[in-house]
Amino acid sequence: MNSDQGQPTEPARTAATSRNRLVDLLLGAAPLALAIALGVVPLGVLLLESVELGAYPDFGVVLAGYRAVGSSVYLPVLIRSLAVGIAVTVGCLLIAYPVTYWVANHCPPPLRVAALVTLTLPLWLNYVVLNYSWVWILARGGLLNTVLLETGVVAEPLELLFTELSLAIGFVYIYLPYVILTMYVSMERLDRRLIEAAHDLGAGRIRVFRDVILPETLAGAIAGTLIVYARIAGAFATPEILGGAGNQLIAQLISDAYLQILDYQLAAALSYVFLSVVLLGLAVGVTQRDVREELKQW
Amino acid sequence: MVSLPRAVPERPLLLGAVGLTMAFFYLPILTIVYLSVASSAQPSIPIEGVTLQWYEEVLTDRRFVRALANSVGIATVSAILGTTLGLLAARTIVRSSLPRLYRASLALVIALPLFIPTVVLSLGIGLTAGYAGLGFGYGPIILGHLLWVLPFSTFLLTARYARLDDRLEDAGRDLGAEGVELFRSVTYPLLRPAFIASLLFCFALSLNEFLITFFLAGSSVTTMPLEIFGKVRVGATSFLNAASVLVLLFSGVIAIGASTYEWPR
Amino acid sequence: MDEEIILEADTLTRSYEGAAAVDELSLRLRDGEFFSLLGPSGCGKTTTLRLLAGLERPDTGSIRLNGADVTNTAASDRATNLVFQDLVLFPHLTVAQNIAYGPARQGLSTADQRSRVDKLLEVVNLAGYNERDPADLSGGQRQRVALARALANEPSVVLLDEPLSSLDRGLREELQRELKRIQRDVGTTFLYVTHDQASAMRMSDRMAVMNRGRIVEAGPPEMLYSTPSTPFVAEFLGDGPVLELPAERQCGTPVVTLADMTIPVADDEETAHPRGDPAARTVMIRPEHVTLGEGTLSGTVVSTAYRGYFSEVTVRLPDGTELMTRGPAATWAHGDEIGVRVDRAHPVEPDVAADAD
Repeated sequence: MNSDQGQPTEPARTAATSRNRLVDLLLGAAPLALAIALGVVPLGVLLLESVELGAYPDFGVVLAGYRAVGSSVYLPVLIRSLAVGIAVTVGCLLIAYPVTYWVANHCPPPLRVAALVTLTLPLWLNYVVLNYSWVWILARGGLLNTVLLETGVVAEPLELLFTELSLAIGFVYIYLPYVILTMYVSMERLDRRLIEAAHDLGAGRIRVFRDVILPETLAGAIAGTLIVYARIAGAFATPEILGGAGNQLIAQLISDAYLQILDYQLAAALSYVFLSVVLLGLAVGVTQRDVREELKQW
Repeated sequence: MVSLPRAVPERPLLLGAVGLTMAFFYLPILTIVYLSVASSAQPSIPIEGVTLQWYEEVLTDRRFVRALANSVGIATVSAILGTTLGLLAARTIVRSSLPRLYRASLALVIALPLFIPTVVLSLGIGLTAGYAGLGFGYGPIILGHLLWVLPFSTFLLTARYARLDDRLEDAGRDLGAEGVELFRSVTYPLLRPAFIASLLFCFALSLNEFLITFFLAGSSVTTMPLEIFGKVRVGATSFLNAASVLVLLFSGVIAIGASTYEWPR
Repeated sequence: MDEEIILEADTLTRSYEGAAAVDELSLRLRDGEFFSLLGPSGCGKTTTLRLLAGLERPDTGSIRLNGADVTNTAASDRATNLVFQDLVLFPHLTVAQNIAYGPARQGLSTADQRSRVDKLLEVVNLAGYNERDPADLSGGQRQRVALARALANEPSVVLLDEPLSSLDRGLREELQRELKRIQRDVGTTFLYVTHDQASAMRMSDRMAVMNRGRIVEAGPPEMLYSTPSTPFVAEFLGDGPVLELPAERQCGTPVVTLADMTIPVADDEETAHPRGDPAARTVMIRPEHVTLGEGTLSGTVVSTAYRGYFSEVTVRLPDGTELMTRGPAATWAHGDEIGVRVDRAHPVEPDVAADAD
């Protein structure tokens, strides 16, 4: 028996592959379209809104929005937002380290999932409500003051609400679960035998932390930071509910500009300056190869 | 001088940290629960009487109930559409024969809401909706929520899809199944836990979403988080406390239910 | 060709990222035979199987099954079924549901599905295992379920991708016997792919040795083992070195010379050179033709490997060549000087009368 068909299969194979590709393309089209229409396009619109193109080539007017952002009124708010973001993130990391270490290494395995669920449950609860709950703890007639007065620690109720402190507490409250979640992924991957090896070779607890735990989990910590600090810097509900009038953050300014003053150009310019700084930080963090590996896990 | 530290002495400190953290998390919630049964409308600590009247008031308050209904409706749509689109996206990212650059770009675009500050995206969508003639209201809100839940559903499903042995689909094809039949008999049964978890998580995320909705709702539509926020601005009351407890309970039950299927890692 | 050719692959080529995994491979399977495709890791065996199964399309070449061209037929429509290397049983289905999967796709009634499942479970000696969860089964049991599943659609050819490689030796040999028995009983053509020459030789009616995407030689196992045509096949199937040695004729007998030792060449009518004698020939020295403790040549023992009921001993000849032999356990030790005699060398040359199928 001879095979006499020759080579018609080369175009046939590529035809089959292109058919598959077409199907794949169509199936993936809907989410792609949505993500572009709602993610990429608005960013473009925002950029256009932030400049006065009609005034070209007078750059002074074109970039008027950005110049306003650079003024003494808005810039401090921006800086404060970023500083708060970083400070709170560091605070969250300081708490998350021992907590995730315990869950990963000392928590009895059958309880581990329950412990994680308990620690990260607040992520799924309404954060407006969660912020609000701190009002009852920190207010002049709130839980903390009542306890302090009753026990005689203070004579007058403390002014805790609408301060930097209440703002910080609120932020830690809302964002600690995020950091715990990202740190746990990193902690879980830490091979406990590295710690045992270090101990075996004579390292004390602090050394073990410095030489083993910290380096191995640093990438995870940084990845978590990148995900969280931007959220904190750009938060709205927490500063509105727990911050004072003197503690405004950037999101509140943007919201005012958009919804109250109706100065769209200012709102857009503020957004873009803020976005640029956030992306810059992200870019710097992502250049670290370890961090990229970590983020790929997600 | 250097002794081998045993794990045990470490534990009290670590355990203490964990315990404090858990107390930190749940104390405010317990406080609100405690205050929600106070008999006075503006309670003080300690409360003077116990009553369930505020819960009754909340559940019969027409404005609040309407807001809650809106939220549930929007959340349902977000969950179903978000999970379906997430499934399509996951399949494209993990299984398709399209070039790697394309698939990575798809993943990146979908992941935008995770690292672009929400306020920036909300403003962008608000402006775009304005220019597109959509204005404020349900349409933009649902689109905004879809944008928000899509990365979560996509990456939840991608993780599960990637863990699936792709030869299972080969085996199905070898034995005679194709296309939809293959998906129904092999792929979907193996993805189901992640699918259900995604539905529940997207629902919870959308239910509680505040910032995007704040920018897109306008004056005609209200949702539960917006209502709560509005009332918080006015002042702390027992009504608000009862509403808060109900809201927390609702989300908590959903989250715990979802965690039995799959926890986002 | 008295038996019917059931599967014919003609100059199949499949490349990935510029490198050819399968390079103009041609193959013919006879109806009802157990055929093994043997080759080292990475030679393209699995790709060949996937091409034949229809899970991949060849770049060039054609495949005919039962006389019809199936090159462009999808896997789901092709009368072949595959037993995967890791079996790939559906974890969400029971044993019976796994086996019934193919028939269900073909539209068999539930009653027909059930009877076919029962029949197949009998064939593979797993009667009564219908409702079991594949995860609860042992390795050997899962093998049988995978085989039953592949037989359920009554394919023309069953393709097996090294299914026994993950099992321990005792189990593997037992399952090889089972596999051969089932194939005989059912009568379906089996194409078995493996890197283990012992399995291939034990089970096959015919086999082919593959390297770098091409078939080097094909034929009955005895033929490939005793009269290989290429050094690659000789070395892959045998345990002796393949050497090119000076040749001549002494008293009419072809011989080769190794380190001052004269060794007759075991020619048969196919390898004999009736006209002209080449000055050098490629031969293989098999362990069974190397005797230690006698002979004119003196060699040094360089390694011994205890294998339980025999030892493998490697000796180095004065000219550096190393020969291997098998002998009673632990007779010689490293460093011993020992006499070596080789009584025969096997020619490794293309057959003068060539028949590659």
